[in-house]
Amino acid sequence: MKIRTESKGRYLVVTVLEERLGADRAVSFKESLARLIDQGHGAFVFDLTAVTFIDSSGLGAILATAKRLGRSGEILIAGASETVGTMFKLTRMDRIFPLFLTVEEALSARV
Amino acid sequence: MKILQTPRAYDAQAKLMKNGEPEMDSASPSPSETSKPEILIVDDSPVQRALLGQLLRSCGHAVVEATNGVEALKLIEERRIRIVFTDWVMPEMTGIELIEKIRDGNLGFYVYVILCSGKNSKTDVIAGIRKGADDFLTKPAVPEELLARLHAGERVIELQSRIAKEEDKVAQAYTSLSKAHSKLRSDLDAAAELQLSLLPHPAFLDQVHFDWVFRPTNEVAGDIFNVFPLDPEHIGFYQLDVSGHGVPAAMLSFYLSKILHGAPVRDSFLKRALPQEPFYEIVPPDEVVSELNRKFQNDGDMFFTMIYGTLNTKSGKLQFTQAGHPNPILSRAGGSTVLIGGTGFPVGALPNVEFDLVEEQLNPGDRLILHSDGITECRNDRKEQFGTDRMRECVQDSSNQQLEEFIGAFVGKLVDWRGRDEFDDDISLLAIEYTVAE
Repeated sequence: MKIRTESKGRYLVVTVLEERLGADRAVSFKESLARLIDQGHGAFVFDLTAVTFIDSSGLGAILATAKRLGRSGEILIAGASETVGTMFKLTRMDRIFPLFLTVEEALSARV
Repeated sequence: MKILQTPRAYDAQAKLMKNGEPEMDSASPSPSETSKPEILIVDDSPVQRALLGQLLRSCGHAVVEATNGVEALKLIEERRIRIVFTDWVMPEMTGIELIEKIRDGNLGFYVYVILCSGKNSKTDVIAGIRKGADDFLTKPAVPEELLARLHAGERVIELQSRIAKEEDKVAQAYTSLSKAHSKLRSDLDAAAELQLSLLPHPAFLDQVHFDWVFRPTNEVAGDIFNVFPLDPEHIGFYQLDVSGHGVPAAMLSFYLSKILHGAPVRDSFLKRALPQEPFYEIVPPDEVVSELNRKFQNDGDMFFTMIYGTLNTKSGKLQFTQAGHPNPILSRAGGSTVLIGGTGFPVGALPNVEFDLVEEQLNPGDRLILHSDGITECRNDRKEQFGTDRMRECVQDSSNQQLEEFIGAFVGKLVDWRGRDEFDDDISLLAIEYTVAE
């Protein structure tokens, strides 16, 4: 699972560098995120610009991360394509993880 | 180079060097050190054999002798001899021919061959090595050099034995893995058979006709569905897709299929008891799904998307709850198709969330098509997704066909579009037709 991380204020921007966030990638994505949480990160922006496909396993990885973070944690989603955004909406995950067009938009909305 | 020798070896060398002539006495000290490998000396000259033999025996080696290559080969095979000193020029079979035979044969163990010869030109050495000799000894042998070369050979044989043992271990591990694998495979096949047996037979139930497609990616799938009577006026149906693939997903789907049924009220949470006639009521789909959501909360990321619904077979009233599952397609008898439903949380993903109840009126000839995301997310070679629009078009194109033909035609279109008859995700589609009243 290829990701890139960058701190922006109190957020850690996690850029997913994979096209597909499906069953085969979900476990390693979840584990990468768990390590970041263990390092003390509590607020994330997931940049999904490169992702063209997400399925329930991919959503599951994000959901498991949210559960690990607990109530004080925060996860914002940026750059979701129409297909990816549809998946968030179909499962109402957009109500849990707010969707933003870009990372900048996500960060400025939360300042 | 440091040469490790036993005191006895020094004695033997001293003796040999002092006398200048070898003793012909072959009754040298018996090799009590059985760990030392047996050595074969191949030479047509009895004097040469005796000379070398005595020195080796005095170092604690058991020595066997052969006068030519043919005898030697037989001995190597019979006694599994690992170290051979062979003369170059011999009648019947030369040392080089012997080496070729050893290397070509399927002895199953490595033989370290030291070629002994009066020849010592560089070209001879190279030719010998090309043919497979491990080392050279120029006659007459200097005892110290001979023993040094023997030690080198022993090290190679020892290493080779260790490698062979490791190879044995690997082979054993492979065998037990193969056994475990075929056990798993047969277990999975049994599970796949069980899963198929859980699916309903395409059938007519009252005013309802249904048929389906089910294509698991692995032996077993996280997709499962069913259609069953709830009471004389209602059927229940569901389709669900457990996140992930394979055995964990399948186990949950098996369990769900066992608790979602239309059995008598006390065994079913799709119906609940009432104190008066008819002593039960059918639980509305949104309440059923909420109850499942309560039941299947977990700390991990195991959840499932589903549609559970009921259809009043007398009135055509359809009620369903959509939990993160793709929108069903309603194919009207007149030929139009429409996506129905909306959005909903998956089941087991989050506690205390609301689920919506959707209502539609079905008319005779209308079809409800439920499908898992494996169909809409199926990609072709150009990495395009099949998508909801194409799915709806396919349904619309085949809407005037009989249900079985419609199912066959749909699968055909999906396979054509995909370009091959295999899929990355579990594929399931359930079509339910509300038939014209008799």
